[in-house]
Amino acid sequence: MIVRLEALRLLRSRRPLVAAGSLALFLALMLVGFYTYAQSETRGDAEFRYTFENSSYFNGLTFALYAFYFGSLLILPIFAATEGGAQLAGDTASGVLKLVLARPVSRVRLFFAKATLAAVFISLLVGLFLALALGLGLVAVGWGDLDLYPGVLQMTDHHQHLPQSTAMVRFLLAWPAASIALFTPLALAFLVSAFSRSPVNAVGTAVALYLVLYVVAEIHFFRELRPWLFTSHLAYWRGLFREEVDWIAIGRDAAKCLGFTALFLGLALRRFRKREETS
Amino acid sequence: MTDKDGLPIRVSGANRRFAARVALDGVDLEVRPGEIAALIGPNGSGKTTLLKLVAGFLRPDSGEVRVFGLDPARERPAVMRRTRFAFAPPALFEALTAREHLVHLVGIGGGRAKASEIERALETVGLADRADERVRAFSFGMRQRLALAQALVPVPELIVLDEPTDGLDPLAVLELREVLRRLRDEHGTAVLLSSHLLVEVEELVDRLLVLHEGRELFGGSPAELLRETGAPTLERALLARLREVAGRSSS
Repeated sequence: MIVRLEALRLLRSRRPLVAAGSLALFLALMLVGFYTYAQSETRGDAEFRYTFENSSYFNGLTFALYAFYFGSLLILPIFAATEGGAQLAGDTASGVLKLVLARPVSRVRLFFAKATLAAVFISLLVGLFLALALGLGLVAVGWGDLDLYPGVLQMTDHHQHLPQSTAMVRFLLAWPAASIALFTPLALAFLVSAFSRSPVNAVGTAVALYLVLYVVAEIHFFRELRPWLFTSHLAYWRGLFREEVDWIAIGRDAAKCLGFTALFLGLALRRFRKREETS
Repeated sequence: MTDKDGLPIRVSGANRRFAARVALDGVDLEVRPGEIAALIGPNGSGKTTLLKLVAGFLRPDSGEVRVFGLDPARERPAVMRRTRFAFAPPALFEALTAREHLVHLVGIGGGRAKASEIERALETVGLADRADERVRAFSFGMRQRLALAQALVPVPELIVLDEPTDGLDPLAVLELREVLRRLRDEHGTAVLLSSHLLVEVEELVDRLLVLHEGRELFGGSPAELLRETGAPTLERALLARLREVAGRSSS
């Protein structure tokens, strides 16, 4: 029943609509970005043939993959942090946490109901984002085979060619893989939320922590630290877009993401169980 | 584990500090089955802190708090199966209707309320005709009524209300008193409520705990307070007690 209550509250809130609208806007801006880039490269001939890496292979699948890359590392983590931060700290600030705790439900059960629902919500957002990206790519650019070349996004270190049907299966697999990656910033936000009584502070802190750790993981200078940062492993799903997928590496990175998630959730639960409701 | 008396509420020598501020200083309280008790005191006297100790949301620094013989901080779900709380200001699920609010709250922890019980609770607090409106649009007084309604379903053995008369019009205050009397008389429910106005509860209560700056100014029945002070009314009796304390402090 507690899950049904939390689900109803989520559905009645504006968060799903705001998230879906923001993701659609982001995709539209990505499309405009690719269009204007192609226009400038072709001197007004405006053909979708150009990406950062190469001028010979752009299509709707490439668009969807690039959009998903940026979206899953920069946009969706913010929604994950917002969702995580809104849970415990939001309910504390509004007083409804006391309302629920004044009923015969354990803190552990309440915590896991909230965490499960937030994870489902983030997974659905990832699925929606992928579907929108692929749909927009099909309508605006058209599909074909997926070709990837080495470049600044580090999608691959040598040319990869995936037939359209294979690429579609990989996109399907990228959905749960990216969802697992995003559970980590979500769990981090839960941890921050368990310590904060203000949802604004919880969301702000979680987003700031994520961005700092993401930047640190990207800077070569910090390469010794990378294995210890969860942000180093979040883009592991890129490995799915190879002709020969290294399933062991994919499984290892997914396990690392789940390990960080379990650690953050465990610490958050420990804090939530012990804390007093002073406000 | 249940202690030998298993009273609805038994607080013995409860102390609680928040940093340097003493919120409660050696407070004792007993509430027996079928009894209506009131915590009286001005803002900041420690009433809400004491209610939070009873709910298990806070732990005492020293002393003991038991609800039906259970430690509410450790055994909160077991305590909440027999107890209903309504804290001030009333926090509600804004996106739900009044009816959904009650249905879902009762369902937490595996309970199930009959539609007739929900209807009766809404009628009791005068919200039956607004039952399918979202809580977001409710006035403060309506929110207070709904908070009371959620504490009535299902009828508990102990009901704890924090400032329940805040935001209610005089008629609603009268109705609230009537509801609490009926709970006591028909169901044997014990009631603990807090108020900063003695006049709002004096006709209702069997037992008083008057708090002042975290200390117990008086604990006992209204008749005992009148007898001890020799004052003609409870209000004057309380005033006399406050003057005694003020006199001791200044000397």
